[in-house]
Amino acid sequence: MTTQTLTRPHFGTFTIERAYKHSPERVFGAFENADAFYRWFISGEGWEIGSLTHDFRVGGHGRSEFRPEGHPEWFGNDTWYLEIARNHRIVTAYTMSAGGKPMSHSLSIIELYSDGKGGCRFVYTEQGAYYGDENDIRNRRAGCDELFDKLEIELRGHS
Amino acid sequence: MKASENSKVYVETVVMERTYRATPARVFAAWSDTEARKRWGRPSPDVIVVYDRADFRVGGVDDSRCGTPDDLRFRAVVRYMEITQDRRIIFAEHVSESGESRAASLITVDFEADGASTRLTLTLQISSIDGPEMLQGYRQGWEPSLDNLAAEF
Repeated sequence: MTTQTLTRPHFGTFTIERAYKHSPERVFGAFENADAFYRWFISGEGWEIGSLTHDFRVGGHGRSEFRPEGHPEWFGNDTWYLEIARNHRIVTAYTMSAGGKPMSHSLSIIELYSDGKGGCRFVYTEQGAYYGDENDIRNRRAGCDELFDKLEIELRGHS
Repeated sequence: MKASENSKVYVETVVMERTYRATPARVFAAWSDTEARKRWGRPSPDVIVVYDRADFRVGGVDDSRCGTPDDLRFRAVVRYMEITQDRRIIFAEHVSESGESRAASLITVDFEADGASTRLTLTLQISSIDGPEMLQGYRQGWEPSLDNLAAEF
């Protein structure tokens, strides 16, 4: 009997903190509102978007497919919302896939705190299992950093 | 360990290992079968597990309550993210106690053949929401459950 070797994922954890000048309500809204979420999270220059579902509720399943223009393979993001505490906390589990095969599974927690000056302390914690190499966690953190930059642009541009 | 300075979340990764005198197929079956899980998946004999929903497939949801029969205070909602028959299960779990959000975790279970036995590796990536208490709660829940699992074989 032959046993196929099943690749072990790398396990890792990282946390990113941001200070936004906008309230927790505004930041929360950028996740909840489908148009806003599309602008900062989904769309990207040079990227093609395939299918898209926004389903921001406990038990909801958001899904997006995207690829660099001209790339043969679709990447996928399947996000399940585990807990939503309005203006305060969002807990998700999400899978990134390439060509239908999982690249990673992650648990993410977003915490939103008022800074007492009309702004928001934003904390993002991810714990994940990554099928790649030892650069995965660093690359994921960098990808999230870029997204939170885009979130800031969204917050500034739309009220 | 606190996730960061301004976070209330405490994070930890815990790895537990066991060897069971059964094939990976049988050990995997004890995980996929809800009735089996009700037997072994509880930390002590005076605690019971009730499944309000069970759907063992990728994207499927288990929704269960756990506690003493008159106080099923813990609710665990599981979302299955990866299932490789007889080899691996990866799922996300959210735990609340009496309606209050307490923890979320990403759990990876690997089943590896070891002669006629199975080496099981459980990786718990735990986020204890609002203080560290649930980190210990997870350890205290899973260690006896993995011990109980041996009685299935």
